[in-house]
Amino acid sequence: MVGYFLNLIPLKWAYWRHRFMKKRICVLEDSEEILEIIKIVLEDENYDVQGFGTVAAFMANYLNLKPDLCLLDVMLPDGNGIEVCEAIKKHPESAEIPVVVMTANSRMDKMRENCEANDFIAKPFDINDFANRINSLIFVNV
Amino acid sequence: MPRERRLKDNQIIQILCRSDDAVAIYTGEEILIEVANPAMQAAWGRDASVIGLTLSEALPEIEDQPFLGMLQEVWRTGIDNVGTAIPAELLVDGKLQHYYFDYAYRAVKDENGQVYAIFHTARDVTEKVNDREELKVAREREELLEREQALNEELAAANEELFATNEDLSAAQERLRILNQELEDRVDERTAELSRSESRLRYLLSDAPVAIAVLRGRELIVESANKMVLNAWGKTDEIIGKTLPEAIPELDGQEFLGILDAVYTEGEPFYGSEVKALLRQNGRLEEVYFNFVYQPIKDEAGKTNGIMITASIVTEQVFGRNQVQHLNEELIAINEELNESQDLLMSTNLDLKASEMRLDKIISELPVPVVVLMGPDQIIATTNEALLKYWDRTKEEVTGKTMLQVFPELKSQPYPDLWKRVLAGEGSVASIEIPVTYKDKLEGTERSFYIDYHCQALTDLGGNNVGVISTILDVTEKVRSRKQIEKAEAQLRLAIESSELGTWYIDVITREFKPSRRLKQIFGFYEEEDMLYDATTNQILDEYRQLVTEAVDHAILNGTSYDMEYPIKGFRDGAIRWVRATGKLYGEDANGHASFSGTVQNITQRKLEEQRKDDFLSIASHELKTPITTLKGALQLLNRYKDNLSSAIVPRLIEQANGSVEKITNLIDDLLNTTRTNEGQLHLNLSTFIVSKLLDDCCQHVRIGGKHDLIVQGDLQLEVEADEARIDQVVVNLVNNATKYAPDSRKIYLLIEDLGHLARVSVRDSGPGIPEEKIPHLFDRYYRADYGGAQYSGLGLGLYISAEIIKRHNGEIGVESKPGEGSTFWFTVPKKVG
Repeated sequence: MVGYFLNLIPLKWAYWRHRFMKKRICVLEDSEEILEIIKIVLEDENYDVQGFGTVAAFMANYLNLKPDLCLLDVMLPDGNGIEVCEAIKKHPESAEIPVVVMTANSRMDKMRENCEANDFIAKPFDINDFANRINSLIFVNV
Repeated sequence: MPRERRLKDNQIIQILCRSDDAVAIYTGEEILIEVANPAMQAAWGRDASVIGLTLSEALPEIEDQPFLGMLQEVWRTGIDNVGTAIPAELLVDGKLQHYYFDYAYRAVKDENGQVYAIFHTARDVTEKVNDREELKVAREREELLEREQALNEELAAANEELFATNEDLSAAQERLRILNQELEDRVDERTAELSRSESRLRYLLSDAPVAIAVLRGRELIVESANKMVLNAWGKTDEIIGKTLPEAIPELDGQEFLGILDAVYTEGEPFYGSEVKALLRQNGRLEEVYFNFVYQPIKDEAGKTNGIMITASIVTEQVFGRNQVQHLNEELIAINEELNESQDLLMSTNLDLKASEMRLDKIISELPVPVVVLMGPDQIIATTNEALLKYWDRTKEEVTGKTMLQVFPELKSQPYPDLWKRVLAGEGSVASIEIPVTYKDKLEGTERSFYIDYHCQALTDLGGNNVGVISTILDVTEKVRSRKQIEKAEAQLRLAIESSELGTWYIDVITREFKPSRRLKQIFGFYEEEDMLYDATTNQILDEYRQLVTEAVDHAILNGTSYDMEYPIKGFRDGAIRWVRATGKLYGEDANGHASFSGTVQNITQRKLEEQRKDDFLSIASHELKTPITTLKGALQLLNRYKDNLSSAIVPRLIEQANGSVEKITNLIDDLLNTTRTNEGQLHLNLSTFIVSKLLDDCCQHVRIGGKHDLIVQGDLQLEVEADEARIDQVVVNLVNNATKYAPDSRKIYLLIEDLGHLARVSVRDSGPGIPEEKIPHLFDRYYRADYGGAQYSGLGLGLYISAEIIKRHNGEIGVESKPGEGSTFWFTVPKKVG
């Protein structure tokens, strides 16, 4: 009997987490000022925000954090946001996580075709539009 | 109600008569004195006895005075007569005295208007008048005095002037006296000189080798005669003072006296030439021949008062000539003989002449300029039409003259030498396209020609060189146009070379492909290698090849030109280069060849620059978007909190907004700086500062960030004269680079060194270092070390601007770096400007 329940615990845990815990967003952005703005905006929407300034740091930690959404900048000191997106989508544990790519460079439009991000947001963004998009992506699954 | 009066009429009269004013009443034409009061009596100088008398009886002295008449007038006309200050002369105290009266003669009328009495009142105003008179006189006297005074002053002034003038006058007189003295002295001198010159003249005349005599007056008195003339006349100086006829009696019967007289009369000189005179010399009558002049001597009025004779004896000459005459006659005889032998020669000459004439004819008709120059002086013997035209001279102007006479400008040119050598027998000369310069006949300007020149010697029968014959062909036009073409070609070559254009040429028919050396270079061939036409298409990068070949075919088909830019791969080195190629089809030229030719220009540099600029712009816009994103986000958040401005988050957001604006400004400044340094507008604000202090104060944002330690080492006292703000900019840039590219290098060292008259600052990190191949480009505009991946934020302008700033300071900037060993960026600036 305990074993049965024990089997249920991971499911329930997920359910509880899903229903009762704050949604978590992992952000990859090297500009500290933009990261701060994003944090304020998303925390206002009741999200838990974790930010990383380098690809290395992000890749090392994001899986453990089990984010509900990944928000990626493109131009990073040690890597490319598009590559990170591909990595996330390829990894079995994170393939389902929605990924949003922020870009300031319109030339990157070409890159869109190569990458499987769920959405692209152009910088500078309107914070309300930004919040809406994030919200819609996270709560699509619910 | 008037009271009854107490006084009787006569009492009234008595009382009235006591008035001080003179009163009198007259009646009738005779002017009877009815009443005269004491005052009137006193005025008249009479007493009461005058009452009852007529006025003229009472005052006989008024007979000549107008009073009586006036009173009678009043009686008759009834018109009052009033006067003031009327003079009257009255007998008073036995004397006739002058009085003045104010008076009134009033006519008293009855009811009918008839005059029945004259009422006379008078007042003695003599004193008053006299006083007035005195006053007038006194005033007049005063005026006179004043005028006198004024006149006196004028006089005094005039006197002074006069005195001054006098002084001037005496000064002038003195000067005049001095001048006079000078004048007299000068006159004396002149006279002395004159007498000196006179005696000199006389001396000259006396010893002159020409016979000179001076005759005075119509009688021709011999005033002076020099030795020569005395000799000629055979006389001594005892003839001085005698008349000429007296002195030389033998002149009688000869023309001379007559001529002298005529000269005297006419006043015109007479010139005699080889005139015979018979003169007694040594006791004998000799024939003497003279050339002489009788010159009239005139006085100041122009009247002849003497004659000067100058003569030279020419007797010998005349005799000599006679002899010559003799000899001449002999000569004539000899000549006759000669003539005969001459005739013989003549016939021989004729033959020669004929052939000469033929030669002349041939030469004259040649269309080529020919000239025959005879003798070592190059006398122009024969010319022809063509030559005269070429020389721009007429036959008369040149024939018989030497070449150098007609064309002195040839002296400095090789021709005279050439003629001499040909004449000397060094062989004939043929030269092509040699230059010659003539001077224009009229204007003297220089005309240059190019000629084909042939010159050979002319020999006589004996085989001797007697002259040269030259033919001249004017090839100036030909040479000039050829030179022009050569020049144009050279210019074209130069233009092509300087533009580094490669050129190519294809003959449409033969398909012959001729690439220029530069073209081969651009396509990566060695100069000596053969380059085939196919190379031009094969080496185009794949994605462009079709485009290019289509364009070329199109141009050939339609006879249009093409102009394209495309990348090619070098034949040997495989390097990618960008070229701009043009080509055009040219129709048949003079030789019937149709050709296709064009140019190729290496535009790799430009293309790369363009690409970098494009990348730069996109990076710039990207870079700008980052702070703009923050700015927008902060402002939108502030908007959310606008009703709750005390929230803790608000100051932070404001700080963010400000910081972003700061960043945007800096980025834009960087952009501007790039443009400005391009245009050389970078202006330096010089000041002297301590380098270590600048380093301590700078890069606060890095120190605050806490990720790096900035350690300042070296010469901490070193001072430098530079633009402090700009040097700060450079240091900040280098430090920022260190933080960006060596983020894990905890310590960043800032070293200050004194290198004599330079100061050196280095920024050292222990980061990953920079690969060798990237180092040369680090300071290029728009260049970033990891360019292709566009991974690093920032515009890549930092080092370029820093380099420009250092350059402006006449310093140097550089980097030492090895991968894995960190990087040291350094710069030097002169410690003092200038």
